[in-house]
Amino acid sequence: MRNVIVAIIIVASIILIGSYYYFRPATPTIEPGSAAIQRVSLYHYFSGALSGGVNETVEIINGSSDQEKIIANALDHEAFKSLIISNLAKGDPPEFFTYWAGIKTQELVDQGYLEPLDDIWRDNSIDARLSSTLVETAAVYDDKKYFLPLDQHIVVFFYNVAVFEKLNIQPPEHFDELIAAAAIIKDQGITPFALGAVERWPAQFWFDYLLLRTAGPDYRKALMQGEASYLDPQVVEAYEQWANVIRSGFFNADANEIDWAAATRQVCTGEAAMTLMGTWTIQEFTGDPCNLSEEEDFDFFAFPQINKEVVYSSVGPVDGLVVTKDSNNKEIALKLLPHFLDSEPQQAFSRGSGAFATSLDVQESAYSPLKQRLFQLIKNSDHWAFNYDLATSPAVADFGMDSFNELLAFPDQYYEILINLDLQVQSLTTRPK
Amino acid sequence: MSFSIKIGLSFTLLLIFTTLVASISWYGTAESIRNQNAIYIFSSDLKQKFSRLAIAELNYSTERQPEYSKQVFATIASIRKQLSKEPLTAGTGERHRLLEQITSELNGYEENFLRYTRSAIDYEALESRLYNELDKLSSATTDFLKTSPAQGDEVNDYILEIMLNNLRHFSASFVDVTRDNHFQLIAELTSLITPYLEQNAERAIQLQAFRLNRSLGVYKLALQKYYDIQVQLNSQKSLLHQQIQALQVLIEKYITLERDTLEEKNFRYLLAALAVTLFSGLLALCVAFYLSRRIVVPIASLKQSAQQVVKGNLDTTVDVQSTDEIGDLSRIFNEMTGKLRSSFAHLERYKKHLEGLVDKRTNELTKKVREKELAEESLRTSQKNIQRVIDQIPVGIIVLDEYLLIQQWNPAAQRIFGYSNFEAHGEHTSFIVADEAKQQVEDVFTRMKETKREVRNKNYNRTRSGEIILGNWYNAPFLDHKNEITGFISIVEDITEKDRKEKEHLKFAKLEAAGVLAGGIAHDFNNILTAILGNISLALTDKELSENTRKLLLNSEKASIRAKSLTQQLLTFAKGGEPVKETTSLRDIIIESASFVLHGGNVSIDYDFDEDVWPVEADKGQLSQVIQNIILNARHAMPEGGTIYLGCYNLSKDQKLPELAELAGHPLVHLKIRDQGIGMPRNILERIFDPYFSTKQDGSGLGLAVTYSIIQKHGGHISVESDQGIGTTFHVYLPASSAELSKDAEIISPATTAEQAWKILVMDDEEMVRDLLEMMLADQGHTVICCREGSECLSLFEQELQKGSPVDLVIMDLTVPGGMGGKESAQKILDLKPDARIVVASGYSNDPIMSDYHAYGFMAALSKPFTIEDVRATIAKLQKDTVNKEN
Repeated sequence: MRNVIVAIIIVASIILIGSYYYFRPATPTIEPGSAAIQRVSLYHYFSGALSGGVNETVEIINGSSDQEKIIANALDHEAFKSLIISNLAKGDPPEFFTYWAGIKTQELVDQGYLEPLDDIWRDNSIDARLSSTLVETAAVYDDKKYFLPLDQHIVVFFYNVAVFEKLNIQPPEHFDELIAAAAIIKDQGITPFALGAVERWPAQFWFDYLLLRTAGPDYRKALMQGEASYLDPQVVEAYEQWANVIRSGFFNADANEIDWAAATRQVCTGEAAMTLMGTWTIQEFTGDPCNLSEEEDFDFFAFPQINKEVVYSSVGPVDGLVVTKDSNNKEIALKLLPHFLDSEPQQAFSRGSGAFATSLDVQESAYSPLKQRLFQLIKNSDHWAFNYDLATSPAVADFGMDSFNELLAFPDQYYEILINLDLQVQSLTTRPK
Repeated sequence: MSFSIKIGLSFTLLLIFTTLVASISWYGTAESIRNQNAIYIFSSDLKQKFSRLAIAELNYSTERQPEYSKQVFATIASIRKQLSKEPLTAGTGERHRLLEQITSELNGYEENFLRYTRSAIDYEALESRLYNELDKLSSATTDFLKTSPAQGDEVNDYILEIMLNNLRHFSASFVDVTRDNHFQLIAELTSLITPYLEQNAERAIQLQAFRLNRSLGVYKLALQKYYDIQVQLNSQKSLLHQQIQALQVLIEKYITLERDTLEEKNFRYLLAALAVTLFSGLLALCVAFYLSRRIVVPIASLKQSAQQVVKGNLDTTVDVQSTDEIGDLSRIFNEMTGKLRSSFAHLERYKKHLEGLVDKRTNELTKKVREKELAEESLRTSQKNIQRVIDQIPVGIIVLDEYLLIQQWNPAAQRIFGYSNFEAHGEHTSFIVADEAKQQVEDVFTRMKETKREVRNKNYNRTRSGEIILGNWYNAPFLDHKNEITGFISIVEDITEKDRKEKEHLKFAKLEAAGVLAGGIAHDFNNILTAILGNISLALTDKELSENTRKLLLNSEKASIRAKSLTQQLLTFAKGGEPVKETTSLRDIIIESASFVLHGGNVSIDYDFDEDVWPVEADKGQLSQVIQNIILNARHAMPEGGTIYLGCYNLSKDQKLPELAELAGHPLVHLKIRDQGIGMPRNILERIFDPYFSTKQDGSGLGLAVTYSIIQKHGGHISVESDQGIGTTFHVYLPASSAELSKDAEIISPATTAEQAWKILVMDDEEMVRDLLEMMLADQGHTVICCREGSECLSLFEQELQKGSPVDLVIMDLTVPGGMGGKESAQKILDLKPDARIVVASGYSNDPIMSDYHAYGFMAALSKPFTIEDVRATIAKLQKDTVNKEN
C-alpha cells in the first residue's frame, strides 16, 4: 500500500512539473528598440581618380569599434570646396571632413567653424606620432591644433622611362637641360610635357616651382600673403619663362580641355614624355588602364634647379582632417579621429593614394623603392611649400588659377594676363592674413 | 490497516488530483492571455517604427537635413534590434525564412539609403558649385561687356546680357528648367562668344572672350555632373520607395505569422490542459478502483477457493497476506484443504501404477508394427533399384520362359534390336537370330537345358530393320527350388562395330608383316634382276648372235621384266613405300584404266559420273593399279560376260556413313565398281583383302591386298558388299583435293645418245651390278672407275679432283650394308664439289629419295633393274642439260 501511495505522488509531481514547462511564458517583455550604433559623417574630396585608399581606411577604423561608425561621403573635388563652406555657413556640417593644410584651414579657423583638437592631441600623445615640422606647418593655427595631418604628397616630374631611354635622355638636374631635353623629345613628335588643366589646379605647380626656383621661398611667401605684387619682376620672370615653354610647343595642345588623369595617361602611352604632378598620380600609373611598374616603366625626377643660390624647395599638399564645432556628434568624431594615425589605416591610405603617411609609426621600409626615394627627396628638401591654391587665399587663388589657364591659351599675352590678375587681386577688399 | 483508513485515503487522493487539474487550467489560460497581449504590443510597436522610418525618409528627401538621415538609421537599428530579440513564438522554418528576408531587405534599404544620402550630399555640393561658377560666369560676362563695346557690336552684347540673365534665372530654380533648355542656352552663349576668340580679334577682347568662354565651359561641366547626379538621386529615391513597400509587406506577413503561431499555441495549451484533466481523472478512477479491489479481492478469493473445494479441487489455497479478519479465515481454510489432499494422494499413486503397465505393453506392439513397415519399405526400394539397373544398363537383358518365349525386354534390347518391349513380348527368341546362326543358338539352349549352367556365345542376329549384327551373348537358366528350369535370362551386347574394327586391325597387321618381307625380297630381287636384265640387254647388243640365241635371250628378257613387275607389286607393301601424290582427276584414271583392262573382251562398261568430279591427291600409277585390280576381279566373276558399272561421285563433308566415321569432316570422292557376277559368300568376303588369298587358280593373292594397301596409304577407305547370284560392289572413298589439277610432266625422250665420253665413278656393294655398269658405260665410250662403298668412293673422287681431272658423273647405290650409303656419300661429294653430277640407283624404287631425288642433291635416279637403254638415256639427258646450262 505504501508503495502505491509513493507511486501516485511521483506521477502527480511529473504532471505538475511537465505542465509548468509546457505552459511557461516564452516571450520576454517587449521594449521599444533604440539605435545602438552611433554614426558620424565624414565628407571628403577623394573621389574619381583620387579615390584610392580612403574606403579601405574608413573600413579599418569602423572595424575597430562596434558602437561608432563613420559614414564616408566622397564628393566631387571642386564641388567640395564650395559645399563645405555652404554647409558650415548653414550650420548643418558633417562631424568631420578632409581639408587642405595651410591658408584654406586658416580661413575656416578664422571664421570659427572648427573645433580645436588640443585635448585629444594631448590625451592621445599625437605630438609623439607626427614630425614636429609637420605639426608646425600643417596642424597649428592661431596657436591651437585644428588640423590632423593625414597624408603628404610631393609634386615632381613623372616620366616615361622607355621614351627617355629611347632618346638617351637622363633625368635633368638643371632647367636648361630640361628645356634641351624637351626640344629633343618634341623633334621626335612626342609631347614633352603633358598637362590636364580643365579643373585649373593642375597648372599651378609650374608657377609654384618656377617662382620658388628663381625668386626663392621668402618672396613667394610674401606674394602668397598679399605683401607683394603680381607685377613684381620676380613674378613677371616666372610667367615669362613659363610662356616661353608654352610658346615652344612643349605642352599638349589640349591642356585646357583635359584633366590631370588624362594627361598622365598620355605619359603612360608614350604620347607625352613627362608630367609635373603630385604623388597621387602614382595610382593612375599603376592602375588600369596604364598598369605600369614603378621604376621600370615610369620614374620621377625633381623640378630642376634654375638658380643654384636659391634655397631648394619642394612643393606639395598635406591632406588632413578637421572637426566641425557645430556638428551633433562631434564627441564621437573626436573619439575616432586619433585612429586615423594608427599604423594600419595609415598604410592602407598610403598604398591606395600614393601619398606618404604622416604617422611616424609607419616605417620607411613599408614603402616601395620608388616611394622611398621620393621620401628621401622630401627629407632632403631645404624648404617645404604648400602649392599655390593652399598657400594663398581662396579668392586670390581663384584669380591666379584662371590666369594659368589664360597663359596656356595666350602665352604671348603673359604680361596683360598679369596686369589683369593684379587688378583682380587689388579689387579684393579682404586680404588674407 | 483497517477498512476505515483505506477508504479515507482514497477520498483524499481524489481531492488532490481535482485541485491539480484546476491549477493547471488556470495557469494555461493566464499564459494564453499574456501571449496575446505580447503580440499586440509587438505588432503595434513595429508598425509605429515603420511609420517613423517612412516619415524620416520623407523629411530627408524634402529638406536634406542630416538630422533626418540619422533618424532613418536610428529607426532601422531599432527595428533590427526588435526583430533580433528572442522570438514571441517557437521558431519555425517559415518564420526563419521570413525574418531572413526582412533582415536582408532592411540591409538593402539601409545600404541604398546610405547611397542616397551620399548622392544627396554630392548633389547639394554640385548645386553649391553651380552657383559659384555662375557667379564667375556673370563676372566674366561683365568684364567682357566692358571690353566689347570697343568693337562696336552692341547688338551682340545686348543679346549676350539677356541670355546670361536667362541663365541666371534657370540656375535659380534648376528644377523648373529642362536639361535640354539649359544646355541649349549654353550652346547659344558659346556661339555668341566664339567669333571673339578668332585670331584676328583684338588681343584684349580675345583674352576676355577666352575667360568668358572658359567660365562657360566650367559651368557646363559642373552642370553636366549636376544633372547626372540628379538622375542617380531620383533612381535611388524610387528604389527606396519600392524597398520600404516591400518591407511593409514582409512585416505584415511576419506579424500575421506570429499571430497565427501564437493562436495555434494557445489552442495547443487548451488541448494539453484538457489532456491533463482527463489523465488526472483517469488516474483518480484507477486509484479508487485499486483501493476497492484491495478490500474486496481477499473475500472474493476465499469464496472462489471454497467453490473449488466443492468441485473436488483440493489443491486450491487462499493467498491472502493481510492481518485483518479475512486473513485469519483464509489460513484456517488452507489447513482444512491440506488434510483432505493427503488422503487423496495415496489413491492417486495406485492409479498411476496401473496406467504405467498398460503404457509399456502398448509401446512394445507399436515397435513391432514399425519394424514390419520398415522391412516392406526396404523391399520396395530394392525392387525399384533393380528395375532402374535393368532399365539403364547399356546391355540388352531378355527374360525367357522355359519355352524360350520372351517375357521381358529392357530398353537396351529395344535399342539393339529395334523392337519395343510390347512387340517382343511372347515372341520366340529365334525371331532375332540371323538365319545362318539359328542352329548355333538352338545348340546353346539345348546345352543349357542339359547342363543347367550358363553358356556364352557370339552369333549373328537380325534387327527389325533387317540389318545383320553380331551379338555377344551371356545366357543363364532360372532354376526353382527343385533345380528345375523355370526360364532363362540372356544378356546381349552389340559388338558388330568392335568386331569390324578388330578385323580391320588384323588385316592391316597382316599387310604390315607382308610389307616387311616383300621389301627385303624385292630389293634383293631387283639387284639380281639388274644383273640378269642388264646382262641380257648387253648380250643382245652383240650383232653376231644367232637368231635362236637372240630369241632365247629375248624370252629371258620378257621373263625378267615380268619378274620386275612382280617386285614392283611387292614393293607396294613395303614399309615406307609412300605414293608419289599429285593432284589428279579420278575420272580420267578410271576411264583410262578400265578401257585398258577391258579392251576387246565380252564385258561392257557403264560409266556414271557426277559433273565436275572433285580432284584427289593421288599417285596415278598406284590408283590405276587399284582400278585395274578390281576390274580384273569383276571380269573374272563374269566368265559369260556382262556389264561392269563404274560410278564416281562427290560426297560432301557432311556425309554420315558409319563406315566412314574416321573420314568425317572431309569432302570425299566415291568410286563405285559393281559387277553382275556370281557374288561371294560371307566367309570369302571377309578374307578378300588378305595377302596371298585367292580363289583363282593362277592368282598371286596380291591384287586386292595391294589395292587395300594403296587405298590405306592414300588415306582412303575401301569396302565390298556382295549378294550371291546378284553381284559384288566395291566402294572406294578418297579425300577430295581443293588444289587444281597438276599439269603433265615433261616427257623426256629416252632415245638420247651419248655425245661426250665422261669419267664416271660407279659405287655399288653388289659386284655383279658394278661389273654390269662398267661394261654398259664402257660400251658407250665412257671411262669407268668402280668402288664398293661411300668412303672409298669419296676418296677416289677427291683424288681425281686433286689430279685436275675430276669425275664427270657418279652413279651410286642408295643402300650399302656395312658401309656409307648413297645419301651420305652424295652430301660429302657435294661438299667437295658443289656442282658434282650424281645419279642414285636403287632397288628400293619406292624409297622417298627415289621419288624426290633432287631434294637430296641427285640429278637423276635409276630404278633397279635397269637396262642399258635406261642408263644411256639418263646420261644423255644429263649431258644435254649440261650443254644447255653452258649456253
